[in-house]
Amino acid sequence: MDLSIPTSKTDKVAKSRKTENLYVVPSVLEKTMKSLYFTRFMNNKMAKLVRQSKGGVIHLDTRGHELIGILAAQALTPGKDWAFPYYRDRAFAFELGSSLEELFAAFLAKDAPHHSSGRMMPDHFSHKPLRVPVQSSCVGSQFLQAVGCAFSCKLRKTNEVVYVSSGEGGTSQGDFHEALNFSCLHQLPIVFVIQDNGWAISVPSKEQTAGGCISKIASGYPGLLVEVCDGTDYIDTAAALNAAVDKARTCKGPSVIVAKIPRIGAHSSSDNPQKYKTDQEHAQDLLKDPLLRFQSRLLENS
Amino acid sequence: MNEAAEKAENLSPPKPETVTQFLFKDFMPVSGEKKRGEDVVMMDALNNALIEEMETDPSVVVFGQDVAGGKGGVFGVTKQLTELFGKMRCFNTPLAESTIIGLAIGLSFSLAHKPVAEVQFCDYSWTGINQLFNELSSIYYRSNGVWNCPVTIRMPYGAYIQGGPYHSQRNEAFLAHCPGLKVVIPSNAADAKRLLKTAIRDPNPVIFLEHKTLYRQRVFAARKEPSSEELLPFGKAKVVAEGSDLTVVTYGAMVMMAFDVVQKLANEGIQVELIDLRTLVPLDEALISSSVRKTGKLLILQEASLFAGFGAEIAARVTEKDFHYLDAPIQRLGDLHIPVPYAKGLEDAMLPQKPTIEKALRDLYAY
Repeated sequence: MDLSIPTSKTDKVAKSRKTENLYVVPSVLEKTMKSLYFTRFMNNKMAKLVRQSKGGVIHLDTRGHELIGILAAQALTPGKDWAFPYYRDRAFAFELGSSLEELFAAFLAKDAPHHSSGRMMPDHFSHKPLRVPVQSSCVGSQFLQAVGCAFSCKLRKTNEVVYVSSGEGGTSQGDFHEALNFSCLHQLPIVFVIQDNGWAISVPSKEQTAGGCISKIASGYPGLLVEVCDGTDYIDTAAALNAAVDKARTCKGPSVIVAKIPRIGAHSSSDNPQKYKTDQEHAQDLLKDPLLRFQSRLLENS
Repeated sequence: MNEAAEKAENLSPPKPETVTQFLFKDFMPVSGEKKRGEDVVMMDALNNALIEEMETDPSVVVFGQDVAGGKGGVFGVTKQLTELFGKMRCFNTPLAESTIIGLAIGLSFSLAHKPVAEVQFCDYSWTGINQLFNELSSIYYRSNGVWNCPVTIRMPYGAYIQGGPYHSQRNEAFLAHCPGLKVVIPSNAADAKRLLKTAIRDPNPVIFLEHKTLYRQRVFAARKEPSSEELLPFGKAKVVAEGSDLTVVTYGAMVMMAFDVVQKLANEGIQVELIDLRTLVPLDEALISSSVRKTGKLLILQEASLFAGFGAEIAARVTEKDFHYLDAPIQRLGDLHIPVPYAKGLEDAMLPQKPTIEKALRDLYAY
């Protein structure tokens, strides 16, 4: 199990991103640790509830996706910035300010405020006070809407930032490339976060993306900051996010962050990864669990 | 965690009786002074509607392929807008319809903008249709009335111009089938101006179809220009010609075509009631119903394919409600359910023409 602290190379990158002070703020670390556990336990509780016929019939497993979501939310100003989180970004929604009760209510299709009050499947976030417009199941459709929202920020001359997330499968949609084109054309204040767990349901990246990682293709767009980070590593991820949000905040244009993470669970409760993932691949994913890595690093560094 | 889950479990599920709530946000346009100016063609009436709305409401933004600068749209509907209002309020987009419609959605979320987007020909809406059908149309419903998109999307539509398969399409049946979109099809300059102004002020997504043959048509479509204060509510069809023998229901450029035929028949004593729907969604079922109850005979005339077309919906509804008032089977006239070919002879052969309309009306009259 590789739980070592970042290599010197990663530290150097982090330093160049001016975030060396991040890991010495104990309250932030404590909040992050708590949120990792909250969102993990929430996920596990939902996995049980889906089998109990209490209103929800589908569960999306978010294990592995928590740290990137939590840190993205921490990089934003809730209620000021705009967010278009995709369906595996529950940890983002939680950290941005949506309560456990709201998220459970959406999971059980209850008549509660926010997240569509039972009209959408769970984790299709909608939260007006947090400036999260209603999300869709249609992978990749959020990109151009986020771009329109970022264009609105620019036209209104605000310093609001727009966050949009997706899995790496979503980058195969034409909308992703139209979104990058328009963002670069107008230097929009937008941060694309691609949570790259290597699997679009059962299709691995090598069958999905030319070159195996969308960063190579994205790097062709003029003015686009493209960062690949280890989405299980606090320093690396927070540094990349803060650089991208700073760039957007100061009206310097768009960024794409490709966060490499494991998808520890299934795509959803109707999916069985044993049909397409080997035991070895699953074991490797478990070793990359961001919760365990973060916890170990905290303990190692006292 | 268990406590939070339990609290959520104890909440009520949504009430089944709320199921139809929030398809559209309530809206009723308020008209000011009604007076008429000089004759205006539809293209200029639409341009004036845009100018007036951009002057009245600084949140209105116009965009699309070719709409900005000196070009001002391939048909000139957006001419001068960049010059008058600047590049931030009338701008070109990349040639990408998903971008155009996705942009409209995203711009509207802050409610600081009222996007009026142009898709250059409705034939090209298909590459943006995911953003239109899957996204824009249902945002108000899906969010349980929390988010709404005050978006107008203008699309030139229609055949009779040798536009071939990709500059001739009539997509109104597809649009009307998608819940959450209002569908407007004006037949003349005065309606076009007043309906576009209503569309822009409506807090819901409105698709505004403009027939290319009507843009500069003078004899039928040019009208005295309505004032800047006048709006037309959606869902109010117009009786273009009154008659007691039979009813013809139509919309868009077919109103013009039917009007000539109806006048010719009137000279022979055949009184045809001609109804211009103006908007397909919402549909003025009450006016159709009252006319059919009066005449007992109905021809539905549409430019598009009859197969699963909009006329089929009207026929079904009239049959369900007013069957006992009918003295003849409902008739429909439309195209031949093939793509629109380019060569003039082929195009003419596949579309409704005045002689075919006349024959359909005479046959129905004689039934």
